[in-house]
Amino acid sequence: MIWTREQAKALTDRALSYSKAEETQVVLTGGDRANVRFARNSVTTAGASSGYSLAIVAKFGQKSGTVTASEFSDASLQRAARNAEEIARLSPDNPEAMPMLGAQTYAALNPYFEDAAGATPDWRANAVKAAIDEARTKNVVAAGFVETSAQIQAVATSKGQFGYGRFTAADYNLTARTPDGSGSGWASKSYNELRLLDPVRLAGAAIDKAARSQNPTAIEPGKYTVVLEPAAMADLIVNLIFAADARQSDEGRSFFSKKGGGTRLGEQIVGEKVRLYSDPAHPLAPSLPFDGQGLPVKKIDWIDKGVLKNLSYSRFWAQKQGKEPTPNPGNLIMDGGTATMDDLIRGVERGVLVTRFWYIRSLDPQTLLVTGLTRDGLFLIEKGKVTRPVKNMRWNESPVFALNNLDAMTAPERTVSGEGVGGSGFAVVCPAARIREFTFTSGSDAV
Amino acid sequence: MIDRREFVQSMLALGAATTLRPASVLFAAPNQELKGLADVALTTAKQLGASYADIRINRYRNQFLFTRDRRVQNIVNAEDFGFGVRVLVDGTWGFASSSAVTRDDVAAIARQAVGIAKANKAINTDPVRLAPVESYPDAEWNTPVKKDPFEVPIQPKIDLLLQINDEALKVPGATFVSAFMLFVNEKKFFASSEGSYITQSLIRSYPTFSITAVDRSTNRFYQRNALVAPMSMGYEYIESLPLLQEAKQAAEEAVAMHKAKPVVPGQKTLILHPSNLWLTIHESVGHPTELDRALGYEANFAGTSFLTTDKLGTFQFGAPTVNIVGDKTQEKAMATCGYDDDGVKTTSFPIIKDGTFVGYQTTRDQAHLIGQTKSHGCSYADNWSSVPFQRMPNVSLLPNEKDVTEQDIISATEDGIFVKGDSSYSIDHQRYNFQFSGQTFWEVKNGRITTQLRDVAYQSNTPEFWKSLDMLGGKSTYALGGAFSDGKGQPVQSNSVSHGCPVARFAKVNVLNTAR
Repeated sequence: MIWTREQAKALTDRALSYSKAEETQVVLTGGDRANVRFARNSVTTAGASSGYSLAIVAKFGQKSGTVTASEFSDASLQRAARNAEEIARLSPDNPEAMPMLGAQTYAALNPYFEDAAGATPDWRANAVKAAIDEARTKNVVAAGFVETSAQIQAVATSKGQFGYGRFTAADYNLTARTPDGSGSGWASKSYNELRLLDPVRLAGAAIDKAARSQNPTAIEPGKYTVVLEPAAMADLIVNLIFAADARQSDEGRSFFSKKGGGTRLGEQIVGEKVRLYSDPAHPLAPSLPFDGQGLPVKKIDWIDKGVLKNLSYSRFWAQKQGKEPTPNPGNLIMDGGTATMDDLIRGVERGVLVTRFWYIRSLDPQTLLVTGLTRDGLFLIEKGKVTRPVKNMRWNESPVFALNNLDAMTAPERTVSGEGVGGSGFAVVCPAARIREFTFTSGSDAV
Repeated sequence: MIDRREFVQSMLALGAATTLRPASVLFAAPNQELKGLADVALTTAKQLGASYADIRINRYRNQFLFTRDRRVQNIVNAEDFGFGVRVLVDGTWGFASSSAVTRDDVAAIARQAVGIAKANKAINTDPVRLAPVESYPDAEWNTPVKKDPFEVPIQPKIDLLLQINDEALKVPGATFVSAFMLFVNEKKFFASSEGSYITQSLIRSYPTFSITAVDRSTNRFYQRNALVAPMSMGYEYIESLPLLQEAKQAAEEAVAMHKAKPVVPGQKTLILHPSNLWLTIHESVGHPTELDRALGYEANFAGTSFLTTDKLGTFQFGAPTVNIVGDKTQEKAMATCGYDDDGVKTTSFPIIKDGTFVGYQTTRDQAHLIGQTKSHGCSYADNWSSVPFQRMPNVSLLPNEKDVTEQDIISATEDGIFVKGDSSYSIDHQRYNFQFSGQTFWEVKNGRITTQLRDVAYQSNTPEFWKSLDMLGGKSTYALGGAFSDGKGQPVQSNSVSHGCPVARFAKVNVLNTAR
């Protein structure tokens, strides 16, 4: 059982009571996690853990120090508090230090579900067995991971703030490969509620894709219309929003900086069809009512009709610029359209269908140009139909260019990106999309 | 993004645990108490039917000091303590962990680990077999440090970081600077049912910085990161580095990038400095020669490998001058330790010999899968709560036996690019197609460095790239690069690793211009 509000408060109160600093903040995180890992159609490792970590921030005027501890005896907490105070006293004044938060009002949000918190070892073993049995029947080799978790976060300050929240997650992902290594398929989902996760369907999707992707042939790199499944789309939008920092933009070191000074807030930066926002109350992606520093989480429009509506302001930068601070969001939502996957494919004369991206890294922060590869199912589309599997390719593209070339979308769904964003702790909801002139730069023999 | 899971049992369990002893006490005393705790786990597991058991009781300390623009932004001391028990029951692994380090909890966690192993037996078709290992009944190994960074006061650390800030911002056109130091201490106690009791203390130190030059009139900005590598060394490493000089140079190079010549893409001769080549070695040699990847254990996450087991001993990986070793004994290198997390004494072994692929990185439970009888000692878990598995040792390219200098290589190059520092890095999931960038790029014409270039990335295919190596620097050009954050496994674990190499030259590599 994870810690209750009362247990968490007892510890944060005890930790605060030991502090001799002018202001003190404590942040407690932790909970229960259990997982099973499998590969080569057999279980490999499995484990269960439960535990908590406490961060103590001590502050004197503009000086602060942080200590984290995992031992919570009175003596250990006192030692941690003294250490935090000692560091704070040694630290020079930080003119950017902000006063700690007092009492806050948090919305009633519930990202915690009993079915996920109570997931049994049998449930996890059966999720694995479903994949292994189906893989054997279809003569493919499966590898994957299932994890269920229930976690808490509590934030308290010596100025009267206290927040407690709990959330659950059920994650399942797997890769199926043909025994000759010429085909590979993947599927991944994460939900707060266990009942929404369907291991059998996910195993079926990965196994089916492995068979369909067998023996790919190479096509020339170049510009192609792409149909991106939601997992590929998710990586583009998170790379755009994670770069949307107000301070960096004001300071001239961001794509969102304006020539001559200031930011691009209010400018049309991507196509009109694009709306990106965070909403802690979204039914598919509920999140905690406060962020890691205790700021109440709220709905934030990042991009609406292609126009940049918000950047992320730290508390210090918000004060300096006369803005509201931006709480760290617990999710990212992209509105979709009314097309089906078949509609997206039908509209392509010659292009490729992408299952997921992999190993995405920044190439040029001035244009948000990133590089990455395709993985686990890349298919040629000719005259509105998927015709054959093709070899993976490297791409160099900016999400800004891509979202400018977006012309149709499916309905959005809860998504885990190919790079794993959207699992436990940060939810992503996004559609599949059709995008013109996506730049592939070289071929890869990897399957 | 590494998700660190720091777990303890529960506040109530801790409150009730009368025999609770803090980590500082346990590790300060002779290890009789640790041995006693370990024996509880090993005996419990054996009694419940485990054919093998081990326990790791670990304490982690990190210190992180972060400055930006002449301000101390944050100083953090982090501590984490707990244990993990791993058992083998009828050929199936089980693992459980807790931070409540008492005899009662150790026994309970050992029982839980056995329970997990038994539950998973039904879905295990591949019984685990362990390669034999010597027992080390009272072994100790410590990173040789002259100055324990955790004993050095905070003040000189802050002073140095602020001086780096000053040096950088003194350069006209340098707009922003951030500088930080990170110190890590892993205190590890390992005991196994095969009679080993091993205590180790690993220390790593890393000072680094990043400088940005912004030009609002063009709306362009360039960043230059330090070329300094993290090391398994104490504070003496920080004191040995010319950090202020390097900060000034980095700031000047960041500013100069605005006027640097955009690279003309095409096939080029590349001269790669160790501060760049280490990461290319990591991605294109380190990862594909991991046996768990080659066998499919990482298929769902990190990927597999083009170096399948049929290629062992025969595949021409690179030019005949390419000799690469896996080495967990290399002095000052980040993955260096005395014993791995299987209790195997660490060693050095060939991976690429005269251009041919000859060795995988292995652990005790993998060796038999390729007909070998001995582990290469590459087992590691990043936390007491993490399951040990195959992780990368230091993987290093040996220098030329002849004394070929950096200048010799530049002088012998008619038309090429000299790349220093690491930046963007990306490689496919079987480790064929890669693309890397760097911190600074220099045009080489007729044997001389002529001008600074920008917007450079190079892209190649692993064996093609290593076959194109046509000049190899000698010992005088050899240096270590490395990182703390090599990610692999589910849940993701982080591994510290170094890669040594000399300056090396590669012919006809595809160079891109990354500006748009």
